[in-house]
Amino acid sequence: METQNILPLLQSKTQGALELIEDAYGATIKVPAEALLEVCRAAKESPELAFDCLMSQTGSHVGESIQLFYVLFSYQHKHELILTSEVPLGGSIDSVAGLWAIADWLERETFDLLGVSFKGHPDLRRIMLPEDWEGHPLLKDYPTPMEYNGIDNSPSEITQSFKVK
Amino acid sequence: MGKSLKTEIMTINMGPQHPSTHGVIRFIIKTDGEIIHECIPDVGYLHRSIEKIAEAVSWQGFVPYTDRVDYLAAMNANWAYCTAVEKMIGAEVPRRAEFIRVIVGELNRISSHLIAIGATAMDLGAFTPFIQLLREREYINDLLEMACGARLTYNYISIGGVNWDVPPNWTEKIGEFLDHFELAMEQMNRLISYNRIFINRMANLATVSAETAIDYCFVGPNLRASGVKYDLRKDIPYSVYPELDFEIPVGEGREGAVGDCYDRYYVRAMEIRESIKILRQALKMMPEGEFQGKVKNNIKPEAGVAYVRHETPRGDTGYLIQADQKTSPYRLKIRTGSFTAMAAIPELAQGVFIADLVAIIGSLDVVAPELDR
Amino acid sequence: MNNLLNTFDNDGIVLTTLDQALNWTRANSLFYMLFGLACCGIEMMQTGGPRGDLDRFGSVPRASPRQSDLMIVAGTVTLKMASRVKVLYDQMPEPKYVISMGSCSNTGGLFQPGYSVLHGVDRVIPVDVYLPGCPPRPEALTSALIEIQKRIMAERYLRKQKD
Repeated sequence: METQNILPLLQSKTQGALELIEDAYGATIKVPAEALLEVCRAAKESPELAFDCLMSQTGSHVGESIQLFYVLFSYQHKHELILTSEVPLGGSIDSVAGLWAIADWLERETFDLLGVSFKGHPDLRRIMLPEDWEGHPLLKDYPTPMEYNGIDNSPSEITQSFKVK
Repeated sequence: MGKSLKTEIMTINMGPQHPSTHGVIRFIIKTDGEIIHECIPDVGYLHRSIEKIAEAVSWQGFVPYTDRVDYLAAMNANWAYCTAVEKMIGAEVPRRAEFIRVIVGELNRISSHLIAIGATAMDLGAFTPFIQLLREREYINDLLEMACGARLTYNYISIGGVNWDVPPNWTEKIGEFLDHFELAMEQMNRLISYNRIFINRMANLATVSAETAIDYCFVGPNLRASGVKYDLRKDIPYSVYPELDFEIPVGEGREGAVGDCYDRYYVRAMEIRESIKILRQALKMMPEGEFQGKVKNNIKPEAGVAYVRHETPRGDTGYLIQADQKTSPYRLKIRTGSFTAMAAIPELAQGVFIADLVAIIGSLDVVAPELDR
Repeated sequence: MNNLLNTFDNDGIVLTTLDQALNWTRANSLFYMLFGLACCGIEMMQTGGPRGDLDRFGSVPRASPRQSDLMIVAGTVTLKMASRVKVLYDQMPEPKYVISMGSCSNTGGLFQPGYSVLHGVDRVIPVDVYLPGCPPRPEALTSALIEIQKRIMAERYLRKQKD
């Protein structure tokens, strides 16, 4: 089923205003942050859609807000859907860990690297970086740390020539 | 007498440096002696910030980093990224380059499955099959070194084709290797697959039903062992796979329940056999021609978000790429098969022995760099 | 000392210093600790395998640091792992040696622009031999092992202990 046909089915199950965004690679559906849990539940439980697998979940720092992406897939009907949503920096959104079991770890990674908190998550803590790390590295204005717990990590002379811009 | 003994739960650390975890992964195990009550994985010891580096290097310059994301199947990892970018810019790949990609991809699939099988056997105590499989892997490394010059991290497949053409008598050498390798696989099968001790240790352990597998987003051989017949090479075919004839092995509960550790091992062994079939066909069908398509040096894809999937040996790797018409990606996320397999371990490892935990990790084929990126 | 076997035709009497005899035994039975972190770890396994055989030098892999006297740091060391590397190095008994294998543990390798990678393992432990490559071939790792052997043969072990 194409994304244009999925949109009216999802819109009928929720109050929030969904919009279809077309770009050069296909269509995605933009969901307001308050309606995300409802839309995901409708996508998983309605029989014509039956999205039983959350393939990927991540975020990206655009301007002053963080744009979240959810990629859903259905093994019964073999169709795919990308949902996007937006939260302000340091904001929070509902967690979908009750619907798909893999969302637990995917959301922990998004929290660790981008700083988005998820309401209702069973165990939200850092996963990739050590527990006492400060800051969220995938934000665009993150400064590379020069030292960690007493170990001097300042770059050598050769490294200065290829720093991250 | 038993009622007066005081028992308590111990917390043991199966630390980052351990001969049986496949790479640097740490487990915190709460046990009462031998049976595990709770198992908490602690990952991130090999987090090398590859996704942040992608925002600073060019589209073509990111290919060596994809090698290091999964170094046991580096050709397939290169291929996955290049397929994603080629779909975004609409590049044409010449037919000879497609066949070379299929041949090196399937050779690398065989060598990756050999390490998976061999490491599982070694963790259970069988050292001989591992050393014999390392010997077979050396022959494959020689063949790939003839094509591109490196043994482990190849950087051979690039956007639009492959980097260099193959030497003149390469196809005959692969044919000789395949003849020798089928006999070696028979010998290895007799050592492991039909071995009563191996079967007793792996059967009926950590059974994963099809609903649980889809819920945890298992991909690749892990998913096929639970009974779901889904392989991207047949269902969303890419490259020249529609012209090749091969089967998809699915777990059937050969020695126990459907979806236990033995099934996951057996699906990998059968996939090696299918790869040999694919290689023989591709060697006969490979045409002459160009090995690199016409792609500009500094590509600038249109703005937008694309999600492209590709079948690597550890499952389907999904690249979510967000571009904004610059010379490097704006955001790139790699979702790998090892990450989803590891997320299921706290549930699968309840109530088993510590020695069984080692067998579970081996059968799920988790490698640390794919997990942490 | 090189032609040890040739001297055995006259009643098997060899004249040498105690230092050289002990160094000869130590250099030819180096047990290395399995510390493969990343891609270089696979090349270390292949070197210990059938073709690039490390057992002919007397080296076998040991899993525990208490039983080994050579640590081959093979792979990228991240900041989360750095404190554990120091703990493992401290647990090895003297005399101990370290080979830093590959670009990632020499200087950080191609991950130097990243935020979580240690710029070289010599910021936490002292290193004896640096081996460049990404990953180094099995022949290169064998030559690094021979360098360590040459270094051991030139040590004045007993005199060092007395001071």
